[in-house]
Amino acid sequence: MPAAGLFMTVLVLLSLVLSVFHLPDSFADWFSYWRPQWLLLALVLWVQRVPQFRGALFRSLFAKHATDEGTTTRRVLLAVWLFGFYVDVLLGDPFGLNGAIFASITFYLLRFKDRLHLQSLSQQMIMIFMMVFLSEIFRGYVLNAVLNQVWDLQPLTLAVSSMLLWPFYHWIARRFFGASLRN
Amino acid sequence: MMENSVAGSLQRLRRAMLLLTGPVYFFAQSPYAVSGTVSDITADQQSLLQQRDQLNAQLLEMKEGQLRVYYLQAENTRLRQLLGSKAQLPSQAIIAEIIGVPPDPQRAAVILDKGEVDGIAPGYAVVDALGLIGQVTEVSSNISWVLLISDRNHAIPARINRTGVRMIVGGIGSPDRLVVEDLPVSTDLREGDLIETSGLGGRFPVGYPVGLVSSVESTQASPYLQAAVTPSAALLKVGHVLIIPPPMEEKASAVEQSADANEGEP
Repeated sequence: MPAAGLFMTVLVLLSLVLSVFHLPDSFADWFSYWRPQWLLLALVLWVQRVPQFRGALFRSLFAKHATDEGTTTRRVLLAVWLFGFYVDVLLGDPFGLNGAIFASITFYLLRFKDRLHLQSLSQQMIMIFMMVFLSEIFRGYVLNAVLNQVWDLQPLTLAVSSMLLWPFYHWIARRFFGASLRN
Repeated sequence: MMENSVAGSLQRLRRAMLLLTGPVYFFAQSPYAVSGTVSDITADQQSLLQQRDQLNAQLLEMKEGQLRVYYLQAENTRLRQLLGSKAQLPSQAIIAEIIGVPPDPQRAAVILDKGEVDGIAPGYAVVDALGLIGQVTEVSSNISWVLLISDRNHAIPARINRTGVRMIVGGIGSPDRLVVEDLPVSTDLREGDLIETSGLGGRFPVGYPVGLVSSVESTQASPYLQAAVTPSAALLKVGHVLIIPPPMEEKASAVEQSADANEGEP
């Protein structure tokens, strides 16, 4: 499916740019506390559709085509972890932080795949909220220890803004991947 | 020695990946670049002429100041020779443009468009026309990260310009407020005092303005002064900055070379 592949590529590139995009000085300070976690949303969108949709970049990463579920899971985990390293450098985070977050979320999504496929949109939104919230708590804990940062309301605000964006992602993805997640 | 360890190879991997982040920051910055170009094109002649006159006047003023600086520089070198100490004035500065700002409001950092190729290394001081901005923390071949002085993880060895008392000025995460750490209540510190870098620690060159003291308080509860400093530099503004090598670098590299030479001997 070339349309889906193109969509995914554009989505990831756009998410990368948006995640480092800073607002003009004229915007209020609180506005940047509500930036959605673009990369995490794109990741969930992709992992939900693995292994039906893998993408050329992912396939080129590994020489042999995997048939069993275990191998695919391990490969996806490795791929998102490696991608996390790039995001670490992009955002100036400690090395491995985003990889650990991405891999944990991917593991959860793949482990409970069958159950998650039965979820309604509102349930998915709650799932996104919990994912972003927990990952931001973890990030806050690490940055607190490593970079001397303080706690603020970002885990909550980022989770809410990401959650509110999910229906839009869901709707767009349906146009490119088809309605069913199971195919 | 560090280059061969695991940490060293991770550092190299990180540096290589930093190079790949360049295009992402370029695209993230492109709306601002485009709007800048558009306003350049649409600017009317009247305002450009006005701007030119202003800049000319400013240039004249600067040149006049520069003449005195030449004289003072020469005199300073002479006096230092009399005292037998080395000249302390920093060498050439490198001009760089800010191409990115991390969107996390807690992270006080900027990304510059110059890197190793232009002779920048971690630890270099970054200043603008008004004062100290921060220091280079991470470098790739043509992109580098600068930790701002307002970051919670940053502190500057500084001194009071008026009295020469040394102190540490730390960031608290706010772009318009730094704090003076652990200064006894008996210290002569007043509102409006200029705080400048002390040059201790060998990272920041001596005498660059850090900020003005905005408030001084002493309470019964604490044996230390509670003082705040307003940074002189425009930390939030995006534009051009200067990168200055640490003053101790020449000496440090000389020491390193002699150490290497010693290692080479059997």
